[in-house]
Amino acid sequence: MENWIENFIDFMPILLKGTVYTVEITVASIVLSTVLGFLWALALLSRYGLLQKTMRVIINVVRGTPLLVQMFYVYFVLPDIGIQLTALQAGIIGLSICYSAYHAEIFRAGIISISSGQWEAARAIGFKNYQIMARIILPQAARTILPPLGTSFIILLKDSSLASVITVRELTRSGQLLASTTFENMQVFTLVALIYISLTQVLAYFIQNLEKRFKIP
Amino acid sequence: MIVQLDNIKKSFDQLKVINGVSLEVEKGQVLVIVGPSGSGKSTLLRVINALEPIDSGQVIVNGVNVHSPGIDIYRLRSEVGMVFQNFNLFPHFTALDNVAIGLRVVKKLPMKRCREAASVRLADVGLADRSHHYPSQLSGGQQQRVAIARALAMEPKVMLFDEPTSALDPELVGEVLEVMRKLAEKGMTMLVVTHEMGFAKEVGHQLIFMDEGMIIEKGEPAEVFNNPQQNRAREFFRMIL
Repeated sequence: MENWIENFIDFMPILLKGTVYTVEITVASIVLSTVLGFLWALALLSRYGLLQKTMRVIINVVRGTPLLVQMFYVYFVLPDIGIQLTALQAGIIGLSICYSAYHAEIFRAGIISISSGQWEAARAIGFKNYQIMARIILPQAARTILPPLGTSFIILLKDSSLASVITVRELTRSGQLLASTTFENMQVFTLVALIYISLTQVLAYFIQNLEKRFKIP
Repeated sequence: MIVQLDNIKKSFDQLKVINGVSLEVEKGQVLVIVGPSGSGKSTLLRVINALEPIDSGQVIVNGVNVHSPGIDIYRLRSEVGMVFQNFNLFPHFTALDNVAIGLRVVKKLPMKRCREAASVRLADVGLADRSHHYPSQLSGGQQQRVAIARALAMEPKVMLFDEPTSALDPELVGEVLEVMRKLAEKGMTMLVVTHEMGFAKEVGHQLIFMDEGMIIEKGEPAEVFNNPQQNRAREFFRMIL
């Protein structure tokens, strides 16, 4: 037990350093994938057929390839065409593109769940399309959007561990390195798992609060 | 002449929904539009505030050619109030904010002033005590009155009513018609699609009967009811009166 505590004091700074990277990647990717996902959803709902069909193809390609392959692509293939990215940047971009495709579908589902009468009523008052989206549609669609979006955020957080394979020293990678040098597999990976659980709990709590804000009587 | 329609034509694919309709409504007049379902009544209303584009013809509202390119359609729509069969209130806003939101978003007034103006409108339709209720907490009749207040808050020059009482329980129809009657008395120009013949006779100045996208009867409401010229209209009135 004494040994465990000593190890804990040694291990935690290293693991927490990795945690900082994990949080960085996750927050950046959540923001980017959500913004992109919303834009993709608008393209999917566009009345311009060409835009709509192109977007559909892109989303199907992104949804149809593994995240790991996408990360390899961003990190190892893009330099061949002159785009140099750090491992961290590559990880964020890979995650963001992958999840933007899922988020696009979540937004699209939420937006089309609102009856056309809402658009019509707002239009008749003199609202412009973006005003209808911001003031009328999204606040109502949030009820259907947030639960799946929140789940997706949690999966994204866990999938940030895949950035370890393109050398980002995030939480999982830190744990791996630590375990391979100390052979304290059980303790290291238990701590890693506990840190992930704490992070996902914080995220889940944040999403629940957001959901409460959009409750409609 | 505040509303003028000139030989309007409109098709959805092969179906001619409006087939050459012309009409004029003077300021302060109430025009009642009746006809069987699918006769183009609703589309005709939606053409007036350009919710629906037209294939040919001309719509002039308060001197503005509604379907000409380059006009400020958003401003025009704010000057033409519309009330829907299914109310279409915004469920995430209170009654007060449903009425205030147009002033806030379209006229960009400060929220405090919007709410002040909105509470006056709610009082006008007899719902001062329901300001902080959400639509789901109101009866159908109350919801429709909020919807009327919402349209009136924009200070429209014309009001369009698309079967405003058709989705209501019979005992709630009266309160909505009463609000509309008062509005007409105050001199509002109104175009009303309705099957409430009592209201049409009492409040309407003009009545048109539409069938298959055309006006087939036109005149003073009582006159058209009592002495329809066309078989189609005669049959229709026999069914609903």
